[in-house]
Parts: sequence; structure tokens; C-alpha cells
Amino acid sequence: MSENIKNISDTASDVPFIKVENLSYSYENDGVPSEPALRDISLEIREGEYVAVLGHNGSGKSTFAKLLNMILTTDKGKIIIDGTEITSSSMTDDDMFEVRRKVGMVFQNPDNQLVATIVEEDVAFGPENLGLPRDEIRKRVYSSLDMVGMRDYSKHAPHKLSGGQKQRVAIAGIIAMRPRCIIFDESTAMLDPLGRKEVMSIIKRLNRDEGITVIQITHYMEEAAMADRVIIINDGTIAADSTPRDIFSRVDFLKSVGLEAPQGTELIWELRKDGFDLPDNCVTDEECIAALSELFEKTLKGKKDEQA
Amino acid sequence: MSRLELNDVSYVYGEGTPFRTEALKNIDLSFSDGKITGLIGHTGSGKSTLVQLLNGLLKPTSGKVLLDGKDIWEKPKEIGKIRFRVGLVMQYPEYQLFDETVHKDIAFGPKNCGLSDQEIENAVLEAAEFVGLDKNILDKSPFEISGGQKRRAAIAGVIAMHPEVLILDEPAAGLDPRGRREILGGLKEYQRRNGTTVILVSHSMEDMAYYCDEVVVMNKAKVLMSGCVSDVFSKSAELESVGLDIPRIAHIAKALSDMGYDLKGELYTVDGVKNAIEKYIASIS
Repeated sequence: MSENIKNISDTASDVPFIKVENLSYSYENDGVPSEPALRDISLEIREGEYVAVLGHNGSGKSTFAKLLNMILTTDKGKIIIDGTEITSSSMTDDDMFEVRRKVGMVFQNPDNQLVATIVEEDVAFGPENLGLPRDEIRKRVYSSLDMVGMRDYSKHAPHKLSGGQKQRVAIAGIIAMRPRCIIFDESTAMLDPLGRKEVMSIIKRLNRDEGITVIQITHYMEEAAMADRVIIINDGTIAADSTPRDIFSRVDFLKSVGLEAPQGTELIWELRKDGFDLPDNCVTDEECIAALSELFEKTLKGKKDEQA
Repeated sequence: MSRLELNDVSYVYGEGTPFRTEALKNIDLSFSDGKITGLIGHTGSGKSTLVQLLNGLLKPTSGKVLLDGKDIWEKPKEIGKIRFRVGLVMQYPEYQLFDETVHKDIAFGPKNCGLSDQEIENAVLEAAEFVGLDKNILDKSPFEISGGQKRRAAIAGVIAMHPEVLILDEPAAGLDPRGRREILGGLKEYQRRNGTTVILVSHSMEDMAYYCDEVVVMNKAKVLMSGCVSDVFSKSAELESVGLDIPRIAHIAKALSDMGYDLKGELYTVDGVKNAIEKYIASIS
């Protein structure tokens, strides 16, 4: 009996939450399809994963996010979310609604996402549309605002909040729908450093403590460094799919796809090019500092030995 | 005397209402001619109010904004002329494109400056080149080009007026690393060739370190510090105390200096730190 249960849970964890097969997409210009934005992409994302998606402007990464949330639809390839094929032609409006409940999306501009004149009403908008009872709506609104640290602002007007606070309210509105996955489409791009830190710490917490699958599209390498996995999209195809450590240590490759390595990694890479004996896998600042001080110590010791 | 100065400038929003907020308090500041000055500070520190005062979009509650030694509000009816001399590229300027073609949009400013057709044509082509806009984009509608191209077109529209002072509020926000480099690099090139005084508002300390000559740090409606880039970034503790940061590479250099390794030079860009490390190693081996 106990073996049975174990088997079942094992199979459950092996089924990907999102499965993408041979997905392509082209935008249309006056009815004529232009150069494909995505070409034949296949990948799997497991429940609870934290995936960062990087790529230069126009690489296709936002198109990918919009397809996952059914803002865009295509018949070229398949997307299966939690067992439902969302690219199927038999999808009804109700099915689509359910997909958007399961996979929430937070956009770039905080001003474009808030609809109500009071914070708590804005957060209640989603759950109200789910047709939930009043008490349940209230419970969800307050627990969601608690989760993003905005409970004290529940009666405030959204337009008077800072950018970071607005994004936190937008996130609360998504959390109130009880999604299994949240896509952040450059949600920190318009925020100042403080606002970015606030939003990043919430994203981390939602993933770690609530088990929500996170797909984060970003230009900031230090944000991508917090993910379990980094996918780089370039010219509509997947150019890399690996751990942040592996990807960030490939400085030449990052440059070739229009991205940058963290500054410390770049420094080490430049010094290695000049012939200094340094490791090629330093990603965090601490690792870079340790590697450099080791090099200095070796050099100092070498000189001492020479003198001796 | 600098071309652009603020003389004891204060600005109050909502005077006489319960929402009265002092956005700027007694600011004395001069911007160095022909340099790129970075303007940093938190949301709410007063930097957006400051840039709007500089080109006359806002009028100081008290104090004076001086351009070439003259109060820009001396003749309030002629304040419009100031905006040709002090060009402002606002945040997300791509939302302000409006004309039929990119070319016409860029030409709008110079046309209103009263330039001849040939001068306008030259100004448009030159501005497009600096921001890295392809010639074949110019005949397209601003609404059928990519976001990055729209941003460039909007910046070109202000550059084409050849303002004596060019102010840009987060011109690279939301762009990928390559786009940032291209736009900011183009601006630096433009500034170098024309000797324009440039004021660059940014949240990115890395961009400040790389593209600016001087930095002004705003905090709580006042100037916290100002000076050349190396002076400002050497005061990391002070910056951190107001929630601002230094470039990541400067953290690394500082940690190594604190450990007793004697690094010297411009320790706030990758190249600067690399040079300092190579010199240090040469000195100890």
C-alpha cells in the first residue's frame, strides 16, 4: 500500500507542469506573416521550478510568455499546461479562463495593471470574477496583501503608491486567484533599485515558501542569478538552457547573444584573457573576490620564495 | 560660471493644501559645461522635479534657474524658447511619437526652431545616426517599428534641435544590455563631438560609472553630494546609508582593498579595476 502511494507521487512529480512541443509563432503584418518570432521551441517546466528567461529585445522571449498565458495563440506546435493542451482548437472561453487562473502574469508597467480606485478592490477584482463567496474573497484579498507586505495600504488609492508598491499590489491580485504558476514579464524593468529589491524578494518567497512555479523574463543578470534555471532565447530559438552558474561563466557566448555577464565574472574573464591563472567558474561577487585574493597571495608568496 | 545653474531653488507641490510637499529645498547647483553629469536618487528624491525646472516645465516656488547667467523666467511669455535651448527627453519618450513617419517626427522640433529645409534634413539624418537608427526606418510609421527603435526615434527628435543642454530621464530603461550600450554610447559620442552639456538621470550605477564625468546625488529634496565620478563612488558608505548602491565591480574592488591589497586607480568600471589589478600584480611580482 505504502509503495503504491510512493509510486503515484513519483509519477506526479515526473509529469511536467508545462510542456512545450515544437512551438512556432509569427506575427502578421497586414495579413502577411513576418519573420517568425519563435521557431520550433520545445521544453518542459516542472511544478515549483524558478526559471529565468533572458534574451535581447526582440529575441522572442515575451512572445513565448504571451503564448503560455494565451494572450497569443498559435496552431504551430503544442503547449500543454497541467495536462490541458491549450493550443488545441477545442479550447473554450471557460478553458482559457481556467488557464489564466492557473498561470498568472505580471506585466512591465505597473500603471497598466491596476483597475480599481482602492487597493483592496483591485486585489478583489480577480476572485470576484471567479464567482467566489464574499467571505472567501475577503480572506483571499487580505492574505494576498499580507504576502506582498501591502496590508497596511488596503484602503489607499493605487495611483498614489510608488512603482514597487504598485507592482506588489498587481502581484497580490494574481496571488488572490491561487495560481500554480506566475509569469513575470520584465516586471522590474520600470522600478527603481529599491522597488526592484522589494519585488524580487516577493518573487523568491512565492517560489520558495508557496511552491509557486515562477517564470521570470528579465534583462537583469543579477535577477536571473537567483533562479534555479536560466533559458536564453535568441532569434526565436533556445540558445541555452542550464544553471545560472554554467551560463554566466560563458562570457563570450553571452556577448554573442547581446547579453552581459555579471561584472565580477567579466573582470575575471578579462584577466584570464591576459594570461592570469584564475578559475573560469566565478559567478558571485564573493567567488570573484576569493579567486582574486588567492591569486594575489600566490603572487606574494612566489616573490617571498624567490627572495628566500 | 556654468551655462546652467540653480540658485537657491525650492519647489513645493500642492502649496496651501493638506498635500503640501517640498520636492526641492534650497538647491544651489551648477552643471559643468560640456560634460555628462549623472543625476541619481530614489524615486521621490526630487530629481524629476529638478529636470522639469531646468527646462521651464515647472517654475521654482523660490530661487532662480540661470541659463548663461540669465533667469529663465525673466520673461515668462518666452519660456517656450528655453525649451529649444534645454532639450528634455522624458522617461519612456516613445509614447510621445505622433507623426506619420519617423522622419517627420524627428523633424518636428527643428522645424519649430525655424531652421531651413536643408538644415532640418541634415539635423534629422545626423540625429538618426547618433542614436543608431537605420535610414530605411525613417519612412516608416513610428507605430510599426520596434520598442527599441521607437525609443531611439524619440531621443533623435530632441537631439535634432541641437539644444545647448540635453537632459535625458532614464533613456535606456527597459532596454537589453546591447541596446543600453548603443544608445548611451551614441549619446556620449554626440556629446563629445558637439560639446553639449548633458544631464543623464539613471538608476544604474554601472551606467553612471561608465558614461558620466560627474555625478549629482539627490536625497530627500536636497543635494546629498556632487563631484566627479571617482569622488562620489569612493563614498560608498554614505551612498549606502541613503539606500543607493555603488557599481558591483566597485564592491569587489573595495572588498579587496579592505583586505589590504593596494589597488589604485578608477575602481568603478571593469576596465578600471582590471588595470588596477594588473598594476598591483606587477608591483608585487
